[in-house]
Amino acid sequence: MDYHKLVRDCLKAKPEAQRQLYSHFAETMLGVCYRYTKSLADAEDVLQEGFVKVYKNLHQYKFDGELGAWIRKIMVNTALNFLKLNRRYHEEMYFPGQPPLHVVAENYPMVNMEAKELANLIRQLPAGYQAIFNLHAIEGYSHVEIGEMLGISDGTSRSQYARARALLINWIKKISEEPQKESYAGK
Amino acid sequence: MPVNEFEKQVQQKMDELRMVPSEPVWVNIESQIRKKKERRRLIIWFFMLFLFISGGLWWFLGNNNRKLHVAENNVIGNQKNEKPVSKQNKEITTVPVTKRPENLSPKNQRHGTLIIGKAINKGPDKLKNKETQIKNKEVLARVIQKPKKDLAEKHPAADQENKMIPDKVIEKKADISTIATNETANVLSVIESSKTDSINSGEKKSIEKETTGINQEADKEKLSTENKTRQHENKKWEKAITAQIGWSNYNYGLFNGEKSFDRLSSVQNSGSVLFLSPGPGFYMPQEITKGASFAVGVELKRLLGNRIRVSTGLQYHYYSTYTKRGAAVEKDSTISYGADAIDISKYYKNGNQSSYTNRFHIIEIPVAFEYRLFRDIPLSISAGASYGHLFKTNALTFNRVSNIYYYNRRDYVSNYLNIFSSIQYTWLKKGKIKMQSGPVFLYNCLELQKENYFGIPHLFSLGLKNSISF
Repeated sequence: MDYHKLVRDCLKAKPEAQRQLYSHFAETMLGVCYRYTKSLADAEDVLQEGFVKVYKNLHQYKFDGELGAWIRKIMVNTALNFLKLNRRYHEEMYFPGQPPLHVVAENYPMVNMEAKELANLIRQLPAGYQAIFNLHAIEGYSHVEIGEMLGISDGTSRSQYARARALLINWIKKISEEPQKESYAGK
Repeated sequence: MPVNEFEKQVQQKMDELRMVPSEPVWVNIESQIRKKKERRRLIIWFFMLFLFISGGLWWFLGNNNRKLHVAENNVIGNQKNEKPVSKQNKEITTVPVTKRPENLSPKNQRHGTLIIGKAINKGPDKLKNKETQIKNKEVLARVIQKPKKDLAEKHPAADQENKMIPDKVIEKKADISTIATNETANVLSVIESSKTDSINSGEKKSIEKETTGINQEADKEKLSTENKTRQHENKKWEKAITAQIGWSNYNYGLFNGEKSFDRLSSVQNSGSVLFLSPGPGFYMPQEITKGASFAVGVELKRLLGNRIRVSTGLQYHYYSTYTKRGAAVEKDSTISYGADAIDISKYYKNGNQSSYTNRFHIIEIPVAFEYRLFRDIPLSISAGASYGHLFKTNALTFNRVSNIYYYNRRDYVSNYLNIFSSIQYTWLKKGKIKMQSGPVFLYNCLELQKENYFGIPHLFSLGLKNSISF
């Protein structure tokens, strides 16, 4: 797909181009939004708001990077704003004083599950953990950057990430063990 | 397994995640995009309307000034036949007006003049040119019927005041309405004959130049930087140094329309000095033209929401106007000003030998609201009001009776209330430093002088405002 032409046509406010841009990225971006929220409806709200921002700020895209990455960044920022502004998420975004926890090397289970299944596990994390896990493990932001984005210290980000990670590994382990037990019992 | 192996696996899995959004999502997105487009169109229309109103206002102001100047020029032109000023004003205190311009003071209008202790009687001037006067009356009767009535209504005191003059002083009591009629007729005919005068279009062109030349492409690059710092700006007061340069002039009625010539002075008794100002004949001042204007100041700005910014500050504003004057005379004299008699040690004769700059030094406290018109173009309009205090001026006051210019600080009010509007374009944005430029129009709502027979002017200025924010 010729992204240059697509962007130029969108800037000219051509409806077909706008629709095409949406169709091309909507599914991937809904996946991104889905990871940050607790329901599909919320994810769609974020997607909608994010795309409006995309069209509004498309003139700022200078073709210096992938268009998909640029849109994804907007979606992530929109999702974070949504979490901050939405009361339901906002309460879980605060991190009460917990002892620091660091990531330790251990045997991790192989993630042998569907993408949506894994996403649903991530979504079961408390909103704060969920956001930090998404930002660090999937988006690749450093803890300093996450601290700035969420208004917390990088130490808090590290600690919360370690907890989120531990929880997630635990759940994955449990899930991956369950079918084995069943099959063993079946034998 | 390395520490980040788990993250890699999760990342890979999540990259595969795709979900189909429901149809209403696109419908909502589309409607929001269209709405924004319509809003933008509305803003453009609003901007066009603003320009149209500003242009109209400018035309209106320019027209008013032109009419005034034309009227003055013509009357002044009629004064060529009169006797030299120096002869008439030998003693301002004793004989301020002994002879009137011929065109303005018909021979049949015998009228008392200013005296101290005694009155001056011109003698029984008989109507020698009756035919001319009758013709003049017939032609002008239709035109001046209304002003005549207005004058009688507005100045009932004038007739009464005439009665106060002793019979010995004035042989025949002048019919005040006839005098007023002739006076108004003179002025009207002067205005009528001035229609062919050309308009100074240079002023209008300067506005057009200032509002053009917007480079949209360069702004887009700056906007990305602007967005990054917007959140930071929201929380802080932005400091700015402003400088403004342009020109200023008098205006005689943004709200009152044409200046009025039908104001008649009254007889005033001030101690032993009896003043009787003339009805029909009076001297006209020299034309007043625009002068340089500039302002420097500091401002504090703060964002209110995404597009509206409030600003306040302190600035020194210099206004000036040009006029012509005659020779300076250093002499202790007494002059009538309103109900008072004021002492002056120096005055200027009416004439066009040299130019004189009326200077006004004003300290102003402006409060303005700035609205950014577009998200992607750093163009904003602002409007506001400012309180001003005149702390120094050398502006001259014209005395139509004595036909002189003199300095009288008391004639000029100290407090000003200005309204202003400007268009600002951000042409440089580097980090916290931002530079804006654009045209600014300012109008002083309060009257500049306390007394002025020829209409009390308002100051206004038009210029280019530049500001550097940090």
